[in-house]
Amino acid sequence: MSDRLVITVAGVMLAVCLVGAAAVTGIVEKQRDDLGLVVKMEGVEGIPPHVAVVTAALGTFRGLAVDVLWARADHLQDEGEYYEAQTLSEWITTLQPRFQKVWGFQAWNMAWNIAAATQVPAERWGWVRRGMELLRTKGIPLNPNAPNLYFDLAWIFQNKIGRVGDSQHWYYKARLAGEMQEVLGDLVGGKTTAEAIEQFRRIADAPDSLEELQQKRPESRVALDLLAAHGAAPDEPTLRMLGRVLMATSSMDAKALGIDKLPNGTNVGLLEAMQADKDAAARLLQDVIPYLQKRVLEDRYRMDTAEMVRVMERYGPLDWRHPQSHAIYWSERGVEVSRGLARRDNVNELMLVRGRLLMLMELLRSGRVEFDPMTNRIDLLPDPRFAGVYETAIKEAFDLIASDKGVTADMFGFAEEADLFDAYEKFLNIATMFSYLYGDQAEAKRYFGILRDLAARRGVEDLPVYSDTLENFVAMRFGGMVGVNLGDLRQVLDAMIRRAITEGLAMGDLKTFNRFINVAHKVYDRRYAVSRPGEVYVLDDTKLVDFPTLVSNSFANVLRDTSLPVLARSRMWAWAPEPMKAAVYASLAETLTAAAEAAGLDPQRAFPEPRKPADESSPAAVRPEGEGDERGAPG
Amino acid sequence: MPRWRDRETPARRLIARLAWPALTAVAFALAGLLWRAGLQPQAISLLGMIGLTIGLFGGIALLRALFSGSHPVIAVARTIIEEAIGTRLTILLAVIVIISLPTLPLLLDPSERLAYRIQFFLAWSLSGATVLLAILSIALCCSSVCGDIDSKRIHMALAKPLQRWEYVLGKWLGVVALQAVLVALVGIGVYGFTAALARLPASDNLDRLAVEEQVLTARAALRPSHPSGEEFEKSVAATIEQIRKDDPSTFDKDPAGARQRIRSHKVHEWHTVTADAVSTYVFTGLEPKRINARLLQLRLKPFTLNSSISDAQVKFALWLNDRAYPFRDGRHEEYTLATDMIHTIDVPTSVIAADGTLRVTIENRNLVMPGEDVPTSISFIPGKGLELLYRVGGFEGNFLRGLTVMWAKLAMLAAAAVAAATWLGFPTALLASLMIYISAAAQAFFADAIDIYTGVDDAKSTLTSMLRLRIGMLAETLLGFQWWEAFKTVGSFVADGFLCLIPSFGAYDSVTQLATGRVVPGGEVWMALLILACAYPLLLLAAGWALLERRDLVGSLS
Repeated sequence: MSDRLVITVAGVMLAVCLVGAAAVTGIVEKQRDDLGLVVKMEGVEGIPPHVAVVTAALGTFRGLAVDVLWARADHLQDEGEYYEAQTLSEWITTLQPRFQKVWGFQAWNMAWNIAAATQVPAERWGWVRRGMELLRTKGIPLNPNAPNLYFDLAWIFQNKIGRVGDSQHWYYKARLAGEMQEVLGDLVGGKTTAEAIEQFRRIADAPDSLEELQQKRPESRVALDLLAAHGAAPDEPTLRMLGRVLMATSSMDAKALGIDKLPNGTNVGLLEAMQADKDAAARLLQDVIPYLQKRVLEDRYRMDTAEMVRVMERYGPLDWRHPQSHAIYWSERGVEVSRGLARRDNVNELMLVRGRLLMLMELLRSGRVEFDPMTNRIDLLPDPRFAGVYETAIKEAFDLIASDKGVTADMFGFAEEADLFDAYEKFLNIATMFSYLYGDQAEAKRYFGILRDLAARRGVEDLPVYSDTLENFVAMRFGGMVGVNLGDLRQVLDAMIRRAITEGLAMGDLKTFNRFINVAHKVYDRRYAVSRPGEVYVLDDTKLVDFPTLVSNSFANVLRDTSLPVLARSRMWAWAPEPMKAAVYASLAETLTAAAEAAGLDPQRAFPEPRKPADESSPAAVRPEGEGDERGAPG
Repeated sequence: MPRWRDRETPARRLIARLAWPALTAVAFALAGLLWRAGLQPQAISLLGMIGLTIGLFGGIALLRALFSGSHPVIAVARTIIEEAIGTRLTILLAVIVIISLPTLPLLLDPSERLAYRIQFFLAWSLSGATVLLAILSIALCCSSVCGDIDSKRIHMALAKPLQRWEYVLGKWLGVVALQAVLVALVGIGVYGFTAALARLPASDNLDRLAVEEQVLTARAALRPSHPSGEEFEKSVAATIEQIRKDDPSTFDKDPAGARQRIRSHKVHEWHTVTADAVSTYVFTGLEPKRINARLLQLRLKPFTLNSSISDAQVKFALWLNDRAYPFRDGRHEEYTLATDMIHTIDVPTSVIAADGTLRVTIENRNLVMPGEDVPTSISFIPGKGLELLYRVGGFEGNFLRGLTVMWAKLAMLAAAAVAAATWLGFPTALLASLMIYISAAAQAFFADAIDIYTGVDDAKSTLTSMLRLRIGMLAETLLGFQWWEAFKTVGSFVADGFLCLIPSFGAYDSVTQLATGRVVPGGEVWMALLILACAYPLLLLAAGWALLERRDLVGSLS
């Protein structure tokens, strides 16, 4: 009897449990699908064999294995041990290939957390790269319809490398620039937007394979034979080797340091052959190199060259040595994917629009890359070519907001025009400044007009910075930018002249040098009273010397500044007009010679004695009204 | 089957004799071919497999020689060794070790830093081998003892002049001896491949230095000495007095607890560098000549105080024995570190003073964070938050110590398996032994998990306070008819009780110590031998013997 009772009770419990399990199975399956936890074996494209094997072999234990790996990774990271971090990240993502957040987390963890744990720049860069590679070569290819992964990758470029929060950000920028310059060279420097895009289009239009190359351009065979004859293959190492040679031979710092040897690993035989056979060399550069560049971009960096051209057509002459260019590219890819999603309300499109505008602003502020590979010196300078692009982008954003489709803002509903006013105001401020400082007065006036209209719309048109003249605006903004006391005219002028020297002479850019000198001269001439609205000038004639002496004094101060590297000062000396050098040489010769010797430089090469100018009475090269030359040979 | 297949013909004997040498020769030839084809890593791996196989056979021969005596315990040990050699499971696990150990280096990413590759190899090869040998030991002990009982062989064994305790001891001793041979084999293999890996090119000079001075070495951790014990005690006493005056009721409620809290607070205060302040931490007992390394590692885990910003960084300047560090290009550079992470700063050994002290002075250079109105203080967690790692020995001796600890853990598991098999059936004995192994290996994790699950997680709790808390919780849940919560509480009692009986292998984590270049102290080795290899086996084998004595072996078969 009791056995029967036990059997009955057990049977009822069994039935209840089975029914309960059946009831929740559907809900659990749906949750697993929604979260992307399931790796279906049937009909799935693109899963690498090792992922499929491991997933099938572990079966239900896959979740347990993942938990163990996560726990181990967390524990080791807490202990400050990172020797398994990369491998565990790979294993975790292998076991959960469709779980997007895992990819994003692991990449972020390597690029931010683990990188921050080491003080060695090369090691930090290694971790940042691992984060990028995890997304670029594995996460995104396995999850091509996951927009967040594209945005995560864009964020690494934009924030980790592109911004200044990380103490090693210059190192990252230099490594990225060096890597890309080896492959692409400098495609945008000194070119107009159209020229830069056309230059890149040649890469996008290159054949996809060697067979296609030889078929479409039979004349390239000469170049391929030349490579083969000198033990080089048409592959990435050859491309990078040639890129390094080009970088070494065009390096200004190498000339200043007296370095004239080729980089290690150079195929000297190939170079000599190229010099001897100009036709083959031309075919190599025109046919084979673009093909190699395309292959490296698509195979190593997983970037679609046709898409890169489209992005450049939309955003301007993107310099692929610049981190923001990569950020824009990956962000655009993510936007394209997200537009295909059924549920737009899951995506904060306003954030995407703002992010895009922010990246363009960064390019406007710093889109011009100055990089010297011999010393890994990198500087990011303003690039006014992006002003027009930004203006177009924000106008498009306004149109989109006003359209029927609108722009979603996640839980906040739809975006409004006012959501972008802050960004627009910042842009107009910078566009006005840069246009004025870099010589386009008409554009500066136009932007200033728009800015005043916007200020009126926002009710701040009475602020002194907006209510006075354009020149007053420039002076106030410049003073704010360089952090000087606007009431101290001498300080403002000194800051402008220093800018002319450090952005102009130090980069061999006489055009920029002259522009800043022009602005300083205008300010000096006009005698602005920037701290007291209503007064025209406060200049005390007894306190300021004449303008050329002002320039010479500032020049001398810069050359004495021991916080500036000697090499940088040497470049400034090399490009400075002879009269400027002559004005300061006597007082600085000893100091400069000592500095050069301390830095291991030949003083005669680093700071040669100036040639005597024909007319010593005025610094003829300081031409407030004229435009200087483009870069030419140093003075 | 044709009869000729059963016959032991001279030809068959010759083939059997020549089979292994022939196979070995073929393997050597293949390794040579791989080497000439430019596949050196693969050739080295194959040679490693050959070496391990030869070593295995050699080890077996050694065991047979060692256990050739006639003492009953030795005889029982010999039988289990012969069983081990004959069973498929042992062969299978041995083959897995022989194949996977040399193959693991081939799977490492060559673009990874060499130091990381070596560390990864050490950690996973030794851990993997430990797991495989643990499974082997457990399976062997359970199958041997349970097999003897189930197949009635034990009657024949006990019919001889063999006491039951000798039987139990002999089984254990045989497995322990086999474990010693296998651990030695694994050790030789891992050491050999580690040495081969260390010869590979490093990513850069720093990577090479890390391999030599942070991985293939034995480093001890040193914590700073408190500046003056007497002064500290006076300060604590003064604070206690002040609190007693200001808030006597709170103090009197729990005086011991209050004193402890004040003391902890004072220690924490000492580990804090307030804004614009300078603190000096003195490390003593360093002997530069004995250290014999170029660098020491200063490990810091800083926190910011007075800041609500979760990712605030800390900025400070460092002096070592009053010398600014680092000093580059005429400037004393500052450090800017992320909080709540361990950072390692390499410090040259040459800065240690002649008297063996290193004064580490830290000046807080934090600015006021955006959104705050006071600069942040920098705090280090007492203990692991501020320590110095310095070399105390070489890798080889450390490696041997690590293997010894590994073997001690296996000895304990063997004793547990033998004891379980004396009174349980094979499947149950196997599961029970595996449960003991997993509990020992993950004891800290399980203890934490139980606390979190029952909602009584408290890092500062003691056994008494936890008991008091749990009993209180149980009473509350029963009175409130919260049956599920009561069930959880009872379950946590049982689980905690079980975990208390099991030693924690985490306290003897020699594999991680080896992989991270930390010393396996002699004291730890002796404790492992005493507790894991002697005390626990003694208790477990005594329990197993007692159970076997009381067990009706005839009745258990019916």
